[in-house]
Amino acid sequence: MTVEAEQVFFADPALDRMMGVVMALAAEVFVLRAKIRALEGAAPEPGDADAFARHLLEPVLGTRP
Amino acid sequence: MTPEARAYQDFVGACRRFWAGPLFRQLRDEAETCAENPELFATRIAGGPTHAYFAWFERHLQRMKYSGRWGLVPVLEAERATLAAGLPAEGDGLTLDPGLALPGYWTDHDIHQHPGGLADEISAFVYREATGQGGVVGQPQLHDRFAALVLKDRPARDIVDLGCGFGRSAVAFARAADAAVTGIDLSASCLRLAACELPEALRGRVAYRQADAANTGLAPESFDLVTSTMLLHEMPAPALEALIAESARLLRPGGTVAHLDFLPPADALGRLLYAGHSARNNEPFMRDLAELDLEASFRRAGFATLRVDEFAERDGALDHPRQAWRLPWTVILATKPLSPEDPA
Ligand SMILES: C[S@@+](CC[C@H](N)C(=O)[O-])C[C@H]1O[C@@H](n2cnc3c(N)ncnc32)[C@H](O)[C@@H]1O
Repeated sequence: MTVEAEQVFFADPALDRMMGVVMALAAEVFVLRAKIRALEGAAPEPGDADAFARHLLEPVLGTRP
Repeated sequence: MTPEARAYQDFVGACRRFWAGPLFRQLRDEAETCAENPELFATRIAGGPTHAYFAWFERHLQRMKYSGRWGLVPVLEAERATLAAGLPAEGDGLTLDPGLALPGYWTDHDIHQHPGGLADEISAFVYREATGQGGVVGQPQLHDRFAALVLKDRPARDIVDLGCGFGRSAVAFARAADAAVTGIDLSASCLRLAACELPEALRGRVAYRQADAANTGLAPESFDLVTSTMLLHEMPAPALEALIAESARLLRPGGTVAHLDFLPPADALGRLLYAGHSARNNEPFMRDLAELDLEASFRRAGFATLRVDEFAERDGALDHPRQAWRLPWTVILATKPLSPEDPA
C-alpha cells in the first residue's frame, strides 16, 4: 500500500506537521477539561468550546489585541 | 458516542467556527488592501501566512473531524453492529440494486476526507454526524429554502431528487409540495438511513432507489421537476453531461430542472478559496463543474431557458462584506420546452 503525502500549506513543511501536533495536544486539553468539569459535577457551559478555540487560535491572526 | 468523543467533536467544531469567522475576516480584510493588484494579491494574500493558516485549518479540521482517535469514522466503527442493525432492508418504498456498477469517481476518492466515502454500510451515519443537525453544517434552513424557492410558481406532482443522500433534500421537497418524490443515490447506506428516518406523514409519498443519477433507469417523461442538492460538484465532466441529458429524458415537456450547487464567485479571494476548498476537501470534480459551459451543455440536451443565480442559504448570507466563510451556493434552473419546436 502506498502512503500518500499530506498537502502542504506553509513555506516550511515542518510547520505543517508541527501544527498537527499542536492541535492534537489542544484537543487533548479540551477533552480533559470537559472530563474534569463532569467529575466536578459542573454543568457544561454554553460557549465554552468557542471561548477555548478563540484563546487557542487568536495568535494565528497576527494582530495586536 | 462517548463523552470524550463528544467533547473532541465540540472542540473541532469550535475551531471550525473560529476558522470560518475571525480567521476568514482577517484574510478578507488583508485581501481588500490589494483587491486591485493581482501581483500583490498573489504574493501577499495567496502566498501570505494568513492564507496558509486558513488553508491548514480547512484541511486539518476536516481530517480531525473524520479520522484519528476520536474522529467520526473510528468512533462510529465502535457502534457498527448496533447502527447497522437499525437500518431497514428493502421494501416500504426502498429499492436497492446490489449489482449496480458504482462509478470510479465515486468509489476512488475520499470525498469530504471521509475515509472510504459513502460505500460502507454505516457510512451514512458518519455523513449525517458530519453535517450536523438539520442541514449542512450550521445551515439548518438550507433545504427548505431551496425547495420553497423552486416550487414557488412551479407546481410539481412528480419530483426526482438526484443524489439525495440520507434524504434531507428529498424530504424538504416532499414537505413543500403535495407531490410524489423519488430520491436517487449510489449509496445504499444513505438510502437505507433515509428510508429509516422518513417522517411518518410522508410515508407512501417518498420512495428511495439506488441508481446512478446519470442513468437512472426511470421511465421517460415521468417527472415535472428534476432536482439535486450538492450533487453536480461531485461528478466529473462526462458524468455531468450524461446527467444533464438524463434530466431532459426524465422530464415531461414544460418541466423544470433545479440544481443547488457551488460555482466560483467573481472576486479574487472567492476564486482562490473555491479552488482551495476543492483540493483541501478532496472534491476534485468541483473544478469540472466550475469549468463546464452550462449554457452550451443544457442547450445541447434540449433545454430552453437557463438561469444561474446566487443562493442565500439564510437571511443576509449574500450581504457584503461577508462576515463568514461560506460555500458559494448557486441555483441552476432550466426548463424543457413544451415541444422541440418551441424553445421558449
Ligand atoms: C453532498 S451529498 C448531498 C446529499 C443530499 N442531496 C443533501 O443535500 O443532503 C451528494 C450525494 O450524491 C451522491 N452521488 C454522487 N454521485 C452520484 C451519482 N452519479 N448518482 C447518484 N448519486 C450520486 C452521493 O452518494 C451523495 O449521497
